[in-house]
Amino acid sequence: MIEYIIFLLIIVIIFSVLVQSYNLALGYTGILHLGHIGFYAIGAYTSALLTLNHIPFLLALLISTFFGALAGLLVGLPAIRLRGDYLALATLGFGEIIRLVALNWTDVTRGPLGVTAIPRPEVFGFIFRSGFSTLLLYLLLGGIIHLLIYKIVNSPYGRVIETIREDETASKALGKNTAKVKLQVLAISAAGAAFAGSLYAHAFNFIDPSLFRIIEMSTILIMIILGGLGSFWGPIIGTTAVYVIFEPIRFLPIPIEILGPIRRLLYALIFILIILYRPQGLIGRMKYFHKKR
Amino acid sequence: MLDILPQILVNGLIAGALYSLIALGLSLTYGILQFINFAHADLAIVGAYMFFFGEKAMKWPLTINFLFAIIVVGILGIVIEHLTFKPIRRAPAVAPMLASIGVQITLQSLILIFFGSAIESFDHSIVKSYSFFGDKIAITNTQIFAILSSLILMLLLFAYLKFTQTGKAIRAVADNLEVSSILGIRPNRIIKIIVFIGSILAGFAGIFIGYDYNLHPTMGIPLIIKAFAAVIIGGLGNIPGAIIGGFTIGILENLAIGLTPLPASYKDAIAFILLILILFLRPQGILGQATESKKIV
Repeated sequence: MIEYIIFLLIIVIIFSVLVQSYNLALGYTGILHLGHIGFYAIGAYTSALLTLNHIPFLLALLISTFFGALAGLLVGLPAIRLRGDYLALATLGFGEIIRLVALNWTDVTRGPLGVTAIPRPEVFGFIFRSGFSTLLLYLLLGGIIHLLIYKIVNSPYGRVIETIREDETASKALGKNTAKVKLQVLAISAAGAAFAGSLYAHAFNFIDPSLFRIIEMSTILIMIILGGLGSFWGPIIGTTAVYVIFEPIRFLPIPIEILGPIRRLLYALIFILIILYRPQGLIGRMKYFHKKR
Repeated sequence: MLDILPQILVNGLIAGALYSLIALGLSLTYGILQFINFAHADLAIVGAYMFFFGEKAMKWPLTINFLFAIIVVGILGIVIEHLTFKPIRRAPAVAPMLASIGVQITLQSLILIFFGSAIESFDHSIVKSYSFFGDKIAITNTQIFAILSSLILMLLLFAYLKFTQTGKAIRAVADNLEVSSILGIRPNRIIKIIVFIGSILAGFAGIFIGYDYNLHPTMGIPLIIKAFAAVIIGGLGNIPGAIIGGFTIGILENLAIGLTPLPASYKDAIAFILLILILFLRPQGILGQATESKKIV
């Protein structure tokens, strides 16, 4: 039982990093991109393949984070000027292309079989074999990302990105190069996703393309909406709530083959209800959806 | 290589006709509601599963299955609109768009719960294959029916929008919702009609997609991306554009798989790449006019 709880906590940490980095783009800056899962996949695959080729864990983590940022820049350069819904579509397509490449580039990614035997995290010769030691390491690593994002959103730069969300035209009129700032935010956000991907790969030692389906993107959306868009604690609360609310369903007498769909159905219904009746999420302060159009 | 070209083109036309039907509904509703509805292709899948339900579980005759599936999808479309999109009609477009992702997952989960995750298929005993031009082209009777009836449906829709009073009201609402409501058109009634038409077209397409590709609960995802690509190619809200876009996607993806060494598993990626290219190069679409970009977030 205790192992199960440690396992859950590790998942919550990884997802909270993934969702927090998404929050920076969607919640704080209002960049409606739906390709976050693609950056997560890039991080997971890069880190897994590097460590399997004897690159140390910490270096692989840094390289994959850098690759994530690079991918964010590459996607953002053409995409960031697109209007909201077009940006959503283009980035959704990007995420799915990444998954299809992972699925079909079998020489490198081993396709649908996935990458197995990914090394455990290792820092200066110490290998984090047990769940508990991994949990402590991930608390530290995940905490660093949360702290960095906290610093960003509470800096003058953070106020700039929030003005972009509230009124991009006004922000431009004040002399801000909003396209450049949005591109930077997308790159940072993508780096965070890749970081989370790397953490996932080494904690569970196995990745395959099915982890990065569009439907997993909707899990990220549910967590962020549930917690509250554009609030620092939102992603942490949202991620935790999703696991605390939905994990116990596993123990109900429901046949295993419909357990997943039932869980997803509940996710989706709560998601819709929140958008309709509590758009600020559980703890959000901002009425994200209540601006009139 | 040129031997297979006619067959590739025919396959492209068949796929294109079905994509067009889905794109049409998407474009129609976008024209009025101004948000991207991710759940639209899943309505097509629900249609296919309803047809499957009628056939396998109820053993109804073909025509009844067909009507049953289409009517269920039409009503479902209206119910979804009423419960999820109507309450947030005045919120920024990001809200209904995200809500539609919730609807999409809801529909997929319901299909999984009731029908399971296995790949299912319709009764193929009515399907007959015909060959033309000395076996250069093989086509089934369901495919012929799909193409012909899609074209007829498209013509009917044009005539409806062009010549009937409701059709004119629909175009007025699409043009300017507020002004048309001042002029005495009830927008909610028009929106319900549009959603019903769009859903029926999707359900119709879904049944033929079921005949051609079998059934899987998550098959709406590649389909919605293709329909988006079709709509964007034609210009958002542009009805003839959606049809041209649908055929373009259908033919191009079949050409790319048939004539290049690209593995068939990349078929779905072609629509995504086209979508991204069009968004970057000509976001107003091939037929659309450049307009001032709307801020929707």
